[in-house]
Amino acid sequence: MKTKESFSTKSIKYFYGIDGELDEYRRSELNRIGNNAYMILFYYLLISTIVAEFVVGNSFRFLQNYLMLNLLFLIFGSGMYTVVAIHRLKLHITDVSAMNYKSVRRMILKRDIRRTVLVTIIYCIFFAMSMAREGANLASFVFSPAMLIAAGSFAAIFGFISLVIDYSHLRRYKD
Amino acid sequence: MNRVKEYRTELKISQIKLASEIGVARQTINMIENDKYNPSLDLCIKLAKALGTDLNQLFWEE
Repeated sequence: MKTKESFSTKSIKYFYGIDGELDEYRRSELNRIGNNAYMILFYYLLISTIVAEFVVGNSFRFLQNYLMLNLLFLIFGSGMYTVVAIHRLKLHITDVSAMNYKSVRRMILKRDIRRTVLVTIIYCIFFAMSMAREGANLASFVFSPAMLIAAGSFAAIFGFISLVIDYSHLRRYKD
Repeated sequence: MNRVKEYRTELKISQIKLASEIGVARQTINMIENDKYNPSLDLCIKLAKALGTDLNQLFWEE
């Protein structure tokens, strides 16, 4: 019984890395996990911003460190909590029939290639922006061998890890 | 304690088959059978229909 997925459903599945059916149980658990992560982040940002307001003064360096700390907390704090909670409840596991297994793997491969290209472009933009800030000639830098090697290595590592993780979420069953 | 597992095994249906029949994940059926998740009324009705029984038989505790 397949119904067309709404944009909201697709977004939730993409954000939390769910490939299978987003049924009511999964949805309620993801809502709970997302709500917990939101509450943790809300209080962290509230407290850290108030503290930073008193401490920062005119120090640009401190502000940079504060922003970096927030980013690290976002990725390793709430991000890791979400990943661990999803894995603990096995919400990431997708059951695939032996008949559809190959086509599902192909679909995941195509999706991961698209994702890798997108993430690599974002990576290159950030890389180029940071180099431009340091006074490098942007046009010559973007097409330089160093940039191409960095982008290629990043894409290969990111793509490979994504693919291995996504394939490991599949569980094949016989019809 | 519901009788979803009892009815499912009686009909010799796997969790995966039942799950795909009513459009949920296998984990959801597993959680319902182990009383770790209270399904919505809509899902209860789908389960009862798929297992060829009614809500009283499936969920009512004597």
